[in-house]
Amino acid sequence: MTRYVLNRILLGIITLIGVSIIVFVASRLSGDVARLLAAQNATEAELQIIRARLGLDKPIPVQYLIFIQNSLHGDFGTSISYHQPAMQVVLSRIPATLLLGVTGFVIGNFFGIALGILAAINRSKWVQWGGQTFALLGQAIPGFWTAVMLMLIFAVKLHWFPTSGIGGIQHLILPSIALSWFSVAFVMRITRSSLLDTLNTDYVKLARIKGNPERVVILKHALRNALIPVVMMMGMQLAMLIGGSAFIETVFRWPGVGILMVNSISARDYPLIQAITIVTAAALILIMLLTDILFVYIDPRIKYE
Amino acid sequence: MVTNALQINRHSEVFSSIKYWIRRLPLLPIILLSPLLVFGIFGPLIYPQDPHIIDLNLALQPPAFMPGGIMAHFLGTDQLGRDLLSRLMEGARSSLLVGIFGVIFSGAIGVLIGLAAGYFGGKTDQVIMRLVDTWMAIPGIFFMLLFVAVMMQSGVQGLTPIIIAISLTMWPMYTRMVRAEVLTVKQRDYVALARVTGCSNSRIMIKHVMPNVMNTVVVMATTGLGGAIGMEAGMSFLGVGVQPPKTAWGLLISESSTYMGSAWWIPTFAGIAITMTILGANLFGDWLRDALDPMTRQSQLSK
Repeated sequence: MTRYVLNRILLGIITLIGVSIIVFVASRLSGDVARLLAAQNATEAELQIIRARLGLDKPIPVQYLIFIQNSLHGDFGTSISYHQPAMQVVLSRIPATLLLGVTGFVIGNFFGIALGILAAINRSKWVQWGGQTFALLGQAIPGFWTAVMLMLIFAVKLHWFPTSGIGGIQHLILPSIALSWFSVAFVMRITRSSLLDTLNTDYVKLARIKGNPERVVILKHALRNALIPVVMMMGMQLAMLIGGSAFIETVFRWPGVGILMVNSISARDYPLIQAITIVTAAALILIMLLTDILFVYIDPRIKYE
Repeated sequence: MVTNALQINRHSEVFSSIKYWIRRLPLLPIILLSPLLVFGIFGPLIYPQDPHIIDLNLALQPPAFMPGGIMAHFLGTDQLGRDLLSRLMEGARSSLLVGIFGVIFSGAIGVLIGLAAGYFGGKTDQVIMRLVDTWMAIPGIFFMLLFVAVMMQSGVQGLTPIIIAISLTMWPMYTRMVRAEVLTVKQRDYVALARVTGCSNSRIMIKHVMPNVMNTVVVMATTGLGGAIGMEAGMSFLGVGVQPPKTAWGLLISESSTYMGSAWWIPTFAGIAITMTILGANLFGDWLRDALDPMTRQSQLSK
């Protein structure tokens, strides 16, 4: 197990280096930041001065080595648009994203699991039909449209919630619903099919024969095992939440990492782009590793060599 | 005489199989996807109005079925008086083009790399899978924004940067799936036999392995069409996809966001168009998976 974890961490570091190379090269190919910063009629000499100041006058491989050397000392460069250390800008945005992401994650899993149980045990035609429609729509409706429509109906027309920004709980409701919309449908689908499989197993039948009330059979015997695939998918779900937050934060002007990601690319803010990718990629790799380890504890059948 | 009988036989066989397929065609997905296909293919020939004609006297007209709406602009107009229905139809064209080419390119890249990884195994496989993991550790939308920026910088314009960005983002999906399938197909006897008879690696890969993973690829590509169109909508929404004066569904939603309170119909209908398309593609993919799988096909036949 230790060997497995160490191996995975090593692979994670290799992945992270790969990510940094791809993003480093791509961001430098994406446009000349000097031209964006300089005056309209700047001469080539003036542009050269700006490039030299930002360290962009050297060949890309040299720039990359300098970047690696500095980042190992915790220096990810200075954000071009914020004039602050890039990593500091990203870290200052993390609490907002985390607040939104965790709320979305909790809503997604709570309602997803609850609806999944309902769809698995209530065999009435309406519940089945409604559950299936909901699951299909959840996969098909883009998150940003949900966000726009929620905003249009509940903020612009009904004035129940503020349209944008961060603040009290009322600011959090619409964005987190929009963010978790996909998760609810996704978790519901997995819970339903997994619970249906579990309800067919011998130990559930035995639990019934022993005369347990249906509630105990489902919640205590069946659901525990049925949730294993749901937990397995949590890593993927978090990855989708990170991607989705770019849209939701943009719609609701939520000051998190997602909107920063979008803005940093349009501003060609290389150090900021790099810092964001390193943070999100590291988070994703860590999440995947943690779910795999968590897995061994909740499902004793799984063993890693 | 004999040939004649055979021909008749074959004709009726073809005919009955066509009838059989028509009867089993999935109605709902076809209905959901037909606006995309019809407006995307015929485009300007059938626009009810010119989608670019500006008429400020008719700005922000509600849809025809609302009080104050007029039939000439069935789904209403935007802040410049342009006809929403025609603009949605124009959007269908960008979506269709991006969707189809995005799927073709990402599928081609992904399938070839996945074939190589699964077939050669060993070091090749390890390097490729590392690359796939690296790719998947970056949020897709971040990647697309970055690639579009790179493309635009190198002077590529129109839909091409969007298609390239989507292809470069989506290929690992196919690679993973194809690799996994190839690992099982590779073990089959016919692959070993092909090798014994002296087939080259590339011949075995293309002629013997690939046909057996194609079903999975076709199903993935169908769902991928919805995925690619959703991505295009998302990019246009963030302002890095289709650029004005051209229009796209995602762009319609973001353009209307500043005056959304007085023109609910624009984000509503544009979003319905996106959702219908993705839903249609997903459902068609489900149907195709069942139709291509001999096991489920049998059970459907007996139904």
